Amino acid sequence: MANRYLVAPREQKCIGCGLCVLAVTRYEKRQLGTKNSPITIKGFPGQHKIQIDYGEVIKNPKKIVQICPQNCFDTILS
Amino acid sequence: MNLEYKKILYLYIDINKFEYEFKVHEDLWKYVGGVGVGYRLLFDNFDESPIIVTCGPLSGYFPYVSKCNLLYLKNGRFVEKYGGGTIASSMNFLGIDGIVIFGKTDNFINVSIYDQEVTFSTEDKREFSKRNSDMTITGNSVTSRGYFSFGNISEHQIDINGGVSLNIDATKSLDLKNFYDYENIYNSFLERYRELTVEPRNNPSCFGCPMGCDNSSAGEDGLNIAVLPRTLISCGYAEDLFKDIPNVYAALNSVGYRYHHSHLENLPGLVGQLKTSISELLSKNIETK
Repeated sequence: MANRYLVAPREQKCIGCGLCVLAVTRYEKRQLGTKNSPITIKGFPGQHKIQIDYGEVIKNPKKIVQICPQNCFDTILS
Repeated sequence: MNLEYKKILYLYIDINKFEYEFKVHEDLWKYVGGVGVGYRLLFDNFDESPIIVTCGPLSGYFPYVSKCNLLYLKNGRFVEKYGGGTIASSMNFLGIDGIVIFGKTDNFINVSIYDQEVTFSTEDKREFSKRNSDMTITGNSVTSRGYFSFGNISEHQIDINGGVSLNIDATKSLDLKNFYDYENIYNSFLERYRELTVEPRNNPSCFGCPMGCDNSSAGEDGLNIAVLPRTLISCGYAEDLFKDIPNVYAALNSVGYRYHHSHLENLPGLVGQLKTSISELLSKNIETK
């Protein structure tokens, strides 16, 4: 069965709010925090880079797509 | 985050000597966080004239509570500033409720905080100014990530000739005991963004806040905000959401704090008493001088 993967094709729009980082630990690990999150946001304000760790499976990628206020994320089928 | 006590990091910065100490304060628990804890720390360490940075108990856990409180003494009065960025959530995710900085320095010092370990390094001014730190304190400016300002401090410059930058590695995660309760409350806060007095924009945003508002880089000078939002250190523009005691009670309980309604109701009185005590100390100080 094909899996859906999270991608960030519009990372230049990222405002660094971190809602995706928090949401992914919340939904995947039932935890609050940024530690062990498969998504990290790097860079300076205004030039953020979104890094997604594909070594970890994100089971609910659609929720991450929905939570981003700037619509940076999409899902793709593999 | 610390559910039953407050953990404070004391930094002693001198010309050549850098030291640190973590202290657990059970007596600070009743002040909830933010200005409450900040005032108490200032009162207890009044003679040393420290620089105090505090975060709120919900910083990073809920939207619109991403601000940090900076407190210091200058020219016989205490100065209180608020700014956003990543410093408050990083502190809370590391389990530190406040940072107290003693001493003055001519050097530019980078302080890295990782779990229970603090390392100090001295840098030249150019390297220091390029740093993308959680918080950078110099005599005439305080910022987070070099973008989020703590307001205009040119009238009340901090007595520090060099600078201190704080880099915090958030190494702790909190296990959610009641995921669905938390999720409901979190989403209800997110959905109430229209109750904020700022509009959503595309500017860099404080951590945990989806607004990206036009004021994100400006600090909160000139806002007169109620005590409860200031102890949580909510954004000044989200005051209406966080001065509502049932809202705050539900949010605090959903992450595991055991504050009761009475704690939150008595908070303005407690903080007011502290503020009066500090003002008395300040006026005594002026008289003796």
